[in-house]
Parts: sequence; C-alpha cells; structure tokens
Amino acid sequence: MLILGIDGALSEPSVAVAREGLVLFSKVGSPKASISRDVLRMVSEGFREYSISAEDISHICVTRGPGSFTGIRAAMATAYGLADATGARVGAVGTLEALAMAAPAVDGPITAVSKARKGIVYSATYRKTGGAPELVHGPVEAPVENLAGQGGGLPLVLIGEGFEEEIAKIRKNAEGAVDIAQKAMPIAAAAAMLAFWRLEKGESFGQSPSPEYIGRSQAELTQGGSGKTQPLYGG
Amino acid sequence: MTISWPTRDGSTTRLKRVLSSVETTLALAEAIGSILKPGDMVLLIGELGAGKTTFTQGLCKGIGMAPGSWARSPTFTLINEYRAKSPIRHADLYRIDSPEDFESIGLFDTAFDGITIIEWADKLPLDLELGVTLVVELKEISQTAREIALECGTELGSALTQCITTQYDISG
Amino acid sequence: MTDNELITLGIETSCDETAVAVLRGASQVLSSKVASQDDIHSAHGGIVPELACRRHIELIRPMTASALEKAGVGFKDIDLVAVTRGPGLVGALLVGLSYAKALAWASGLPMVGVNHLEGHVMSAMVENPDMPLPCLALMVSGGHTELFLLSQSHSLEWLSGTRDDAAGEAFDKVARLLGLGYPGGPIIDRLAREGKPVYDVPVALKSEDTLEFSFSGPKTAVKNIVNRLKNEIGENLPVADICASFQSAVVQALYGKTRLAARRFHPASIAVVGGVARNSAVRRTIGALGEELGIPVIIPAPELCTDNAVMIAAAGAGRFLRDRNNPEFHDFQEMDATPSWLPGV
Repeated sequence: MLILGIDGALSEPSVAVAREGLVLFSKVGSPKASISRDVLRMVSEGFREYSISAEDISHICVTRGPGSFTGIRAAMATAYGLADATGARVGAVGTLEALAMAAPAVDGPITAVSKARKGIVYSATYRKTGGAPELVHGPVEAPVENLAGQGGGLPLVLIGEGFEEEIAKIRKNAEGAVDIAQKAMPIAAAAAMLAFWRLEKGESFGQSPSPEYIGRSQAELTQGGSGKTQPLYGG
Repeated sequence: MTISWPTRDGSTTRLKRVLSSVETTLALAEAIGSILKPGDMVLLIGELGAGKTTFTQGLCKGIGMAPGSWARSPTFTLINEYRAKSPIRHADLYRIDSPEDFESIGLFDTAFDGITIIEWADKLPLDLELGVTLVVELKEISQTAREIALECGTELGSALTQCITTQYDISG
Repeated sequence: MTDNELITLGIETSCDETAVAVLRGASQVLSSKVASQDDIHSAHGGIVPELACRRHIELIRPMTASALEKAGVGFKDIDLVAVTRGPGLVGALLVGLSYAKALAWASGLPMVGVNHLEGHVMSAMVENPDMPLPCLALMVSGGHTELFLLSQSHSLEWLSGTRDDAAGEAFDKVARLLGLGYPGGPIIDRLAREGKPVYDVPVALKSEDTLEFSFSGPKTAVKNIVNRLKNEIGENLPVADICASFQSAVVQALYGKTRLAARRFHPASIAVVGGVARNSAVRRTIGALGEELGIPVIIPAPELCTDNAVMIAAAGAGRFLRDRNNPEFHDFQEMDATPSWLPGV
C-alpha cells in the first residue's frame, strides 16, 4: 500500500508518500510560490528520487480543509487528476485532524488551527490517545483571540498557523499555560499516515471527496443553501 | 467621508474638493499617481458613472503606464495587471459579495511589489492585509463635475495637499 | 498516431463554465460538455467568484467522465491534454489546470496550456478548418473586446482592444441599470428587437482613426437617459427603445472598427467570436461586411461562441500538431495560471 498525501490548505503546500505506515518522503513548498507551481513539481521530484512510478500509488489522501480555499481546491484537483490517470483511490482527511496528527505526543488536548482570513482562524481541539487524534471540540471559525478560551482550564497547546501575531493576547487571556507545538512531520505526511491507519482499520476511504469550507460563501447563504459540512472523514 | 479605513501609519488626512471637468479629474489623478510608491494601495468608491475608471486611467498615467495603453474595467476580469514604472494591479469588487469571494479572486495569493488600485472598494468591509494608503471617493455633481474626497495617512496627505494647492486651480 | 487520429482532451474552467471536450485531429468534435452556472449567478446579477470555484471542483471529474463517455474513449486513449491557463479567475483556472497537469503528468502525456482568448479565435476554425488566413478576428465577450490578426502560420497578433469596458460588460451593466436581470446580453438583444433606436447613445471613437473601442460612454449615456426619463415620465420606461438605442451604438462601434481594421490589414477572412457574437444584431451587421469586402465572415454556432472546451482542445491540438517535438509540451509540472494574459501583444 503506497499512499500519496497532498496538502494545499496551509500556507506552505506539502506532499508525502507513506509505504505501509512509514513515511518514505515528504516535501514542503514555499509560501511565496503559488500552490500550482509547487505541488506537482514536488510530487514528480519525490517520485524520481525514490524511483516511484505513478502507477505504484494505491491511494491518494488530500486534506479537504478548512484552510485556503484556492489551495484546497488546487490540491484536490491534483489528486483527482492523478487518480483518474492511475486508477488510485482518492480520499480526504480534515486539515485540522491532520495537523493534530502531525503534532508531537502531548498529554492533554491539542488545538489545531488554520487560517481563514486576517484575524479569523479555523480551529478544532483533539485528544491524541494511542496515535489517531480524537475530536473533542470544533471545528469552528472564529476570531483568533477566541483561541484563548479553548483550553477550558487545561494548558492550551496550539499547532498550525494564523495565531502567531496574536499569541501575546492569547497568552494574556488564557486561563492556563499556552504552548505552541511544532509539527513533527509535514501535514501531507500526517494525512498519508491517517489514511493508512484508517485503511488498516477497514474504514471506508471514499472515492471523490469534496472540500470542507465551514464558512459559507455569502452567496450561498443568501440563496438559502444547506451549508452542511462534510462528515469528518470519507466522502 | 462615511467609511473609515485603517491606513498604514494609523493617522488620517481628509481633503474634499470639487473638480470642474473630466480634464481636471484626470490631471489630479495623474498627479496623485506620480507620488505613489510600490506597495501602495488605493481604494476607489463611487456610483456607476462617477468616474472611477477615468480616475484610474489618470492614476495609471501618473504611475508611468505607457501612452497608448489603457486601464480597462476589471469588472469581469476581476484583476488586471499593467506594466508601468511600478507594476499596477487594478481590481474591481463590483461582483464581490463576501470575504470568501474576495479571497478567491486571489489578490493576496502571491507577493506583489507594485501599486494596487481597487474599484468599488466599499462593497465589502475588507481586512486588507497590506494596509490601505489612500481612499478616493467620487460623487457626480453634474455631467462633468465631480466632488472628490480623499483620505490617507498624514505623510501622503501632506504631499497630496501640496500637489493640489500648488498645481491645480481646484475649488475647495 | 497520424495527425487525424490525435485524441485531445480539452478542459476549460476560466470563469463560470466547467467545460470538457474531446477532439479528434484538429477539428472533429467527439464530445463537448458545458456545465453553465448562469442559473446560480443570475440570482446575484453576475458571477460570484467563490461560488464559481466551488462548482468547478464539484464538476471537474463528472464532466470529464461524461465527455469521455460521450466520445466513446477512455483515459488511456487520450494523446494530448489541452487546458485553459488564462486569462480568467485564478481560483477557477487552478481547478482545471491542476487537474489537467496531474492527469497529463501521471499518464506521461504532452500538455498544452492554452490562452482562453486564442481558444475563442480558434473556435472559428472548428467548423471551418479551411478558413482563409490571415483572418481578422473580433473577440467580444463580457471581459474582452479585442481585434486580433491570425496569420498564415497561425500566430496571433493583437491589434487593439477596449480602452475601458468590454462590450459584454456594458450589456450587463445596462441590463442592471434597467433592472432586466443577468446575463444582460440575451435579454437586451430580445428587447431591442421590439424597440426602435430613438435615443441618442453615442458611438464612441466613431470618427477617430483608431482601432480601439470604448463602451464606458454608451453605458453612461444610457444612465443619463434613464435618469432623465425617470424625471419626465416616471418609472414606466420605454425599455425596448432604450435597449435598441444602446445595442445599436455598440454594434455600430464593433462594425466600424472591424471594417476599419479590414481595410488596413486586408485579411482573407473575418471571424467574430466570443459570447457577444451570439447577439443577433452583431451577427447580422458584421456578417454583412463579408459581401461588402468580398471575403468570408465566419461567426461560429452560438454554442461555440460562449465558453467551451472544444475551442481549447482545438487551439491546443493545433499548437501541438504544428510543433510536435517541442519539449515544452512535456515541461509543465510548474506551469502556473496566468490570470491576466493578453496573447500576441
């Protein structure tokens, strides 16, 4: 089982390949370049360096959001194209659960954060027991300073992006200690690992996942769209 | 001016003038364009036919766009780019209804070191990451005359005040 | 494979239409699928960018599958991928471009990034593969009003364009002024047939010796007429007459500048392409230029005038067939969208 992970939701796109639960390689792109320039280049470089051919990929796991709308769609369209060319199956995991997965082991809850707009972030809190993150709270779209209230008395451990500029304010308003966790692996690698674990457990992988937006477009709201978000896994 | 925008240095200068003709509007816009710097962001507000496109063409000329090229309406294209002494991005929020829509036009997807001009800027309460340097509001008072209100930081404001008072016979 | 056997998959997602087509050779259309979003966007009086992007990502796979099925071919039968690279909405372009790049790369296929406007010009050759060249092409749509010269070697030279608004944009804005709905072009076209051009809407740049267009003036003129009539007679406006007056001014400008360009460049044919080429007065008036100048005037079928993927496949296949061994067809991994890209400048 060779799983390709792709993320375009965070400001630095990433790709990774995992073989039987081990990350073979991962690559992180530049936040300056556009996602469309970086993603396929990183995939093709990685494949060349590790002598992988496109047909070897059995599954593609893409992060479906929340995060950069354009980035998510570019990553997902890339996954679709690769899947249609090779017959690989394509599924998705949430950006925030993949971020929590990418976090180092912590005792208490960990809050994964991705950026929506200036001052607004998406966040969800997970507990990591024995590996795969379990959702405790969220996901929500809220002003970044609201993160201060997410700890609920426990130490607040943040991972992701969009909160760096406001960290002093969050620290001041939080009840307990606030820590920032660094990713132990790129989020694309975490996505591939999550996919591997779930496939091992026999969970459905989905076939053509859709992005998860949380914040609905104003147009959709005025049209009275259902606004239902995707289930957290599958598609 | 009804809308207050955060300017980069946090302070504001407000000027209001009457421009008697299209030529005066173009001349003032060109003079303003010539004192803009890379990284500046200009917001234009005004109804259909208020002269936003005319004003933009003057700005672009002042920024150094070659004669014979034209700043076109970005209503459909959303963002136009022009070559000038400093590169220009010309955007239009006429069709933009939400912050999500604003994100998807990609104005902030790539680093840009030029001058950004945004028409119909009052359509959205924007979180403009780069900071606005100048807000221009145009009102039609007759077929050819326009009232112009300018709002900007004090540094650009003093340069603007000077260029208005020394070069143009514009009633206040 | 021979030139006539080349199977090209064309993909177009530059604006609000998700379109996929399969072409055999340079011009044989095996299938053409277009998912228009007009119904979604009409409620908002125009295209909503984020909504358009969301539809593209939902539709890109099903539309591709359905175009291939209709053509009776599979992914393995494709020889070339052609995709719109720009100009257009970046978030929309990236859906089609990312999909196409991944599909072509993983299949080991060549890929061509096509300019959307060049695609429109090439749409004239789909039904008329032997169109005499050089061809003077008027490309007129919501976002563009341009004159191009397509040379005998198929290179595109940009001659002129609008100084301000595009013709289609002026149609939409006038329709909005009159409260007629979106898209404005077809509505004004229909109403204009019932009215007479009795109001004075100036034909911009009419007497000037320039090939440029300007449609901001006609739009403002309509606004002034509407304001004046509202004062004089109230809300019950003679909408059909206003539409006829406005449309007549736009069509006269398009006709006049195309004629001037034809006299200057002596093309062997004239093509009128893009969404506004569906307008009945445009087709009739500029179509009549052919007899006057003694050269064919080609105006594609309406479904080829609006955004479609046949034109993208045709432009891509044309480029590839003329220069098969060019390594750039295999060097596309880092190809990026080009949101504002005017070809032939």
